[in-house]
Amino acid sequence: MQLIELQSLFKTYHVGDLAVPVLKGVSLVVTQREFVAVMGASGSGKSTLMNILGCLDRPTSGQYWLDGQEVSSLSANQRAHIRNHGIGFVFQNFNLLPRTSALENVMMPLGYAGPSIPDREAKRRSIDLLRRLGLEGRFDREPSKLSGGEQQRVAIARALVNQPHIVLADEPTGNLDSHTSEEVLQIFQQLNEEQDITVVLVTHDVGIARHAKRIIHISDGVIDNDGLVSDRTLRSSKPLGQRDPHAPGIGTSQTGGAE
Amino acid sequence: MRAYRAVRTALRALRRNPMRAALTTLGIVIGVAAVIAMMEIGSGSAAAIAKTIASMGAGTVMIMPGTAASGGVSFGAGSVMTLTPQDCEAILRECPAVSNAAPVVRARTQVVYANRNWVPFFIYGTTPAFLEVRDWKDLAEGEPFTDRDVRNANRVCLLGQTLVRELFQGESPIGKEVRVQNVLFKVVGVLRAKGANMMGMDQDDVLIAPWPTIKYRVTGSTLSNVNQSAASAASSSSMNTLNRLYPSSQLSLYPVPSATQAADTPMPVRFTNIDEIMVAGQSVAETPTAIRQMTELLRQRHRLHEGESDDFTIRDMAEMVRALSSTTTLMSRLLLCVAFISLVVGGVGIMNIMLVSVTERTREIGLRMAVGARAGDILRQFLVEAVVLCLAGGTLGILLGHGGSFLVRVLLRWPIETSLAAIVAAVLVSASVGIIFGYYPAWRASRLDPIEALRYE
Repeated sequence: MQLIELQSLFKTYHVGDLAVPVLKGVSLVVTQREFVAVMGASGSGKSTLMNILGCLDRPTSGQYWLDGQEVSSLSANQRAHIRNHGIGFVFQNFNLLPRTSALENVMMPLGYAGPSIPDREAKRRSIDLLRRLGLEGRFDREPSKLSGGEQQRVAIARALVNQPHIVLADEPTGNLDSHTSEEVLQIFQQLNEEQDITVVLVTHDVGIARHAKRIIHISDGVIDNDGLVSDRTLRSSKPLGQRDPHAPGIGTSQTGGAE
Repeated sequence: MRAYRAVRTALRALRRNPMRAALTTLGIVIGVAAVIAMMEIGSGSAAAIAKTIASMGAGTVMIMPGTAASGGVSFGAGSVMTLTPQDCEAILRECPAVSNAAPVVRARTQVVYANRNWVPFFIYGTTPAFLEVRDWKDLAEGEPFTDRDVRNANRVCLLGQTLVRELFQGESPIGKEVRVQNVLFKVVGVLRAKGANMMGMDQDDVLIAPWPTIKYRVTGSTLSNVNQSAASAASSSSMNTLNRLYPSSQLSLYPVPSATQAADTPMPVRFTNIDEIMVAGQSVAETPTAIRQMTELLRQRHRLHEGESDDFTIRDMAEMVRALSSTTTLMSRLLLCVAFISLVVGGVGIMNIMLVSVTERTREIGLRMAVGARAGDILRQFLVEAVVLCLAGGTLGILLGHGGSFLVRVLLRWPIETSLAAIVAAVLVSASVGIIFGYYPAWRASRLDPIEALRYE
């Protein structure tokens, strides 16, 4: 079943009078239970693609079907609803609320899910998730008292609390050391395999991308390579360094924040 | 449920930075505290002023007989004798807006004690109700005379402080006898000092006695040298049987008419007239109602036809009351202005800090939007935060202001009046300040682009 379908997606930013094309016709199909890594140099448009996939941004033109629904034409509130119910976000810098307990951080999205979820249920669900992610006994800790890996696990729990079909992770291991990175990636793999959650992961690290089942290369706003991880030719097809000279032209302030 | 969650979220957000929340709301705290303290002290002093003015007689209504005119010569106010003690009783009985009424008979003559004499400004013949009407109930010394004294026309009197000073010079007058027009009055009580009235007359220069005593034993005649109708009344009062009981001291200018003469020129038996009725309304606000009721009653009792003019005049201290109330309203408006300014300043403070807070929490806003908060949710969150902040400040301000005015009462002994209206207004105003000044920052927060906000450093 097709969960995500993009058809000739274009995104152009306007900086003053200057039109800066970032995505130049991206077409993509992601089916359920896939584990996709999106790779590309900074400024290649992968963050913009991620924002559109996450319904945070709208494409300039082209269609985006999410779970059979055309979402590029939805209103801001409808997109907020999809972000709340259908998609879980995991960020590079965790983005946990400061001075707020881990449990409350996890419960936070449920507060926007409408009145259907009573407080006790929300709490139970959040505690369950934290337990499953190995954070037993850390419920009342504030983010500043947690290690990086723990913080990212709290963030993953937050992404999962509304039982989404898709988890979008934007450089989830960017701020973690290699050991905790491995842990976090294993969590994603588990989610993908055991709970049939589709994971889309943005990274520029080939080693991390290799944990995925499928790797999509983006360069200069178009997909230039798309293949399964077992395909070994993928990694050597085009060295990353060669694409960097193109980056400044596209690397405007809107897209350059992934590092 | 939704509101409860919003308030809880707001409280959590505020708890993350309690110091700043406290400083933010300080403007509101001070503003509301100032308002409450000023309102309480202000209304306390207003009440004190009102009480003072009421003691000067602002609440009393005076009913005087109307004007007599004969052959184009008018005799001025109070020259006809239309008011009777029965009128006074009827007013008390039938006008619900009236709390008390006392008939008054006036005289002006010499009072003698031992080798000293004095002409008091007022000699009032009245009933014990007079003391209630004039708010003069608690005496400095002794007891007031009673209704029985009035019925029996007993020769007892109350003296004002000035009279006591002039006649007795430090001696206690209780039980002593003073002479008024050669009539001996036993002093039963001394009035409390009241000071000057609104016209500057010394209200303590007074002798108060039962009205029949004054009317039949003392005056009987004093009015006769004032005007003609009074003179004719005096001569007619020779028909009054009471005159035989209490012979007046007046010299007879004309020979007493013989029985035949009297039969030939019959004179109607006059009713007992009084000079004035003093009335206290249930409250100053009800004075106009009381006046209306009394006018109706007296017209009916005096059998006045439609279109016939009143044979009495009713005077109240409307001018004084108006002046008093205009002072009070001016004062409270002034306070309101000050309060408004201080609250606006407090509100600007809130807006400032909320703007800073929105900027500082840009990433949080972006995150909340990313996990599904709609613009409306963000708007509501920040608005509720501002309102909670303002309400907390308002509550604290009420406590502080109340405590302050309490201290003023205890330490400075100023009169204080707790004003529920001020408290309610303070709560409402602080909530609306929160909404008004919290709206712009909240709106700014809700307009943020989630992508930009998430990336904000």
